[in-house]
Amino acid sequence: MVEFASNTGQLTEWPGRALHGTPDAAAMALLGELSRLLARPLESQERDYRVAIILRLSRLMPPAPRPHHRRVARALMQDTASWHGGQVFSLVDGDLVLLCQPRRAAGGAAISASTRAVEPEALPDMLRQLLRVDTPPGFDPVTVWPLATHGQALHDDIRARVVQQEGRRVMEEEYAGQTEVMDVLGSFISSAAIADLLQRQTAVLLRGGGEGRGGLLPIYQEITFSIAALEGRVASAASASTDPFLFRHLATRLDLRILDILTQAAGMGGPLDVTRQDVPALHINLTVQGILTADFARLAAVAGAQPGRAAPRVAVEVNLLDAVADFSAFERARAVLAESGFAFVLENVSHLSLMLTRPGVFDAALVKLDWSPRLAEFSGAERATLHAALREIGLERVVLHRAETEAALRWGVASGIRRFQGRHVDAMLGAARIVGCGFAKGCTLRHCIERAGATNALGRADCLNLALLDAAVPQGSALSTSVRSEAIL
Amino acid sequence: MSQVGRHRVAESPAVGGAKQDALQLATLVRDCAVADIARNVAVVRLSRLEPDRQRPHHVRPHHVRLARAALEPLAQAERARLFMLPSRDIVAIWRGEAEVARSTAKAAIEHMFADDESLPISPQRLWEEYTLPGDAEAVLAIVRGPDGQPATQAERVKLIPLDLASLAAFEQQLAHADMARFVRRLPIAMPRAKGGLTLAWESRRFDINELAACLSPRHDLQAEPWLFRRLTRTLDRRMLALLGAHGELAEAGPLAFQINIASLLSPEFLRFDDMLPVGLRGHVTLDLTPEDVLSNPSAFLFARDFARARGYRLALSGIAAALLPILPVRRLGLDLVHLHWSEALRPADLAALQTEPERIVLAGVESEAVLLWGMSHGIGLFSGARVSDALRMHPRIGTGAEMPISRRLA
Repeated sequence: MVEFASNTGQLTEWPGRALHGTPDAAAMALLGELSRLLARPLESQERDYRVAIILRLSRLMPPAPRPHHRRVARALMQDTASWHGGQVFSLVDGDLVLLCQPRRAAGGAAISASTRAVEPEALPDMLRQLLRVDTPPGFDPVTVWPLATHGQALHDDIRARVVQQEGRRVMEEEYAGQTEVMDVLGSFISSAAIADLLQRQTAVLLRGGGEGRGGLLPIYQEITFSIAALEGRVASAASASTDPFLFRHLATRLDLRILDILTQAAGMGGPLDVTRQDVPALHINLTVQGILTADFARLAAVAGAQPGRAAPRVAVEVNLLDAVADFSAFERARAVLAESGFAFVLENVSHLSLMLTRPGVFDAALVKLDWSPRLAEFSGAERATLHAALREIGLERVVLHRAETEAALRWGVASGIRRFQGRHVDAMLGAARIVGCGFAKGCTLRHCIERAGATNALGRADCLNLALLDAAVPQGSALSTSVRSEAIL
Repeated sequence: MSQVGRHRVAESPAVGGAKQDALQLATLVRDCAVADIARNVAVVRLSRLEPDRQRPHHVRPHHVRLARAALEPLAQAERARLFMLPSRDIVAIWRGEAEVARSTAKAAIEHMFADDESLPISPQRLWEEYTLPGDAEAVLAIVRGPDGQPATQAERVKLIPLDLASLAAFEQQLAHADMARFVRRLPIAMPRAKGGLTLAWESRRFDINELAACLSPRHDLQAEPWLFRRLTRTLDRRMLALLGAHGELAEAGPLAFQINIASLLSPEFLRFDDMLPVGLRGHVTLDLTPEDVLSNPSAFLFARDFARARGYRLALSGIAAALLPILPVRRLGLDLVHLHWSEALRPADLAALQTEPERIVLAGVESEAVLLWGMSHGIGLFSGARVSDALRMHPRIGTGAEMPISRRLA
């Protein structure tokens, strides 16, 4: 009998989906095969020794499983099946089942040199390794079921699954046609009135200490276009961000619009006024190409440092991908920013890019690290690499972005990070405003958060205290001793 | 620019012009030199009719028209193309045997000016012939013209940048185009123990400039970098299809090609992987770019581990020396890195890679001095015109089987 390295015979429950859907043809076929094998005498089953290896792709962390996970995993399992007299079943929800009869290759190598097939004993670990980045913490995506001992349990589970099948089908990414969809979106961006789709989010410095010095200090307000709203307005058939390259191209069009809108709004005193000194600094997202345009120069002219005028309180956030794609252009863009008096912020740094690159080398004013629950799960060498990377950036320059939950804040604080941006922060600021505002009698927390996020008159219309809305928190409160104490940071 | 021959297309004087022709010819010549592509070149030196520029109008429009007509027999030669340079020289370039057409064209040029007594030179001096890649420098000198001014990027503005609509149309066009003619093979070589170089593997790539000139002459494919990156995915799939053509892999030696992560995880790659002969497994290098790696780090890690499990080597290409401190190759877990030579390259840049020098491919090796610089710093792999020259001069040296690179890097 072949000994498996780990979790032999481990039984885990199928996802508890009590929904009705289409019968799973592959599951039915698998049930038929299991019934046939289990009908044989026990001695025969033990002698033949068959196993089922189940890959739970449906339980990966979103946005996984992607079609490539399924495609590649199936190819690997199919090779093993071909060499070990087996069969792969693709279930409707994306899970894969390999039913095979392991027989050792000469020499016991994990991968057969002549057939490139992965031996059944090595396959689970290979799949775990491939999927480790997208596997939920503490979850094993691969289970192994020896049929002689656990065949009936497997049969029962598969049968229950057929009844309970949700019918969620895995969609293949459709690259063909994506360009046309993006063309429609791009044309809309260039020609339609989209200023009302600009949204605002405040980032804060979490300060400790007593004597009223602790609390949330707003450090900047980021102005971005809502991509979801854009897609909704053109009834886009595909997500703009499906193809990162096309999305970066679209971003260059968004640049021109936001630069134009901000230039027009300068000096008007609204939430998009880059010359205001009574609110936190403004952050805008631009591509490297966008910074090198005449449109940027026009904005810099109205916001930039001039005799008799305070230094600009504007920072430009540049995507890590953009900076790396054309480094010489990035260096030119950075020089333009410095000349304009605008700070440079590096954004879109994920936990994975933090492990693969050294964002600290950019020497940005701030580095925006996107929150992922995975950050809290790192251990051993990975954890050491992560913290070394944070130290290299400098914790005082790290903003934990997309901090949507308390868990994110908790991890950030425990890691020494003090700057945060995200929906959880929005809620904290909203609560502070409700408490400190004299006109909040009819307001709900949700109202206050939505109005603070809006940049157009309609979205802010029902607020009777726009000065407080723009300042993010009450002046002089325990939450903010001064919004001007940190110009950019 | 006009194109003649098997894939003749209409002239496009409105969007090209002589400067554009010069740029494209220079690119073509350099590509021939680097990738060791054989071509024949004939030049009608109309510029010699204006030796001192005192009579700038000596070259009349009908001279140009007649000279072009005289070159018409060469239109039937394989892969023939015609370039009109700012100096008024006319260049015909073609592949393979075309002796009758060549001699007919040459005779026509000489005959055309035979009766012109005002000609400052003999008609025979209007005709010159060259062969590529050996005469690349001489042809480039002609392209630069008497003022020595190379065509510049600024002169490309007459081409229309690719936009989303034209990209979609071009992707459709690529699906049905004969792409084999645009494939170039760039040798990657390594030093031999007894001196000299031996071929480690061939890098296969599409000649983007020629592809653009033939299939989309009105567009600058690389003007919008993100659209070009998207286009490379389509090109990946065409390359995989070409490599999967009957007999292609069976006859291939160690090879490399550029690929996007999305393509590496595509059904087309899995089919290619299915067809890869046992003997070639472990001898295929996949070249990735930094922006592709960072566009989806999760997919990159998945693809990297999958490719490793299947026996592919992974290389990082298209990285500038200034980026090396930000993208440590060791952290990325790749086998090789392509580093393009520049005067600014310093030993400290190599140290910044945090990888063994023998895992570096020094690209753009145009001279012996650069080659020696790389070897003196322990670099183990080289590509560029000098490398192509060296391997052409010693064609029997090394085939990859002599010393498979994978054995050194395993």
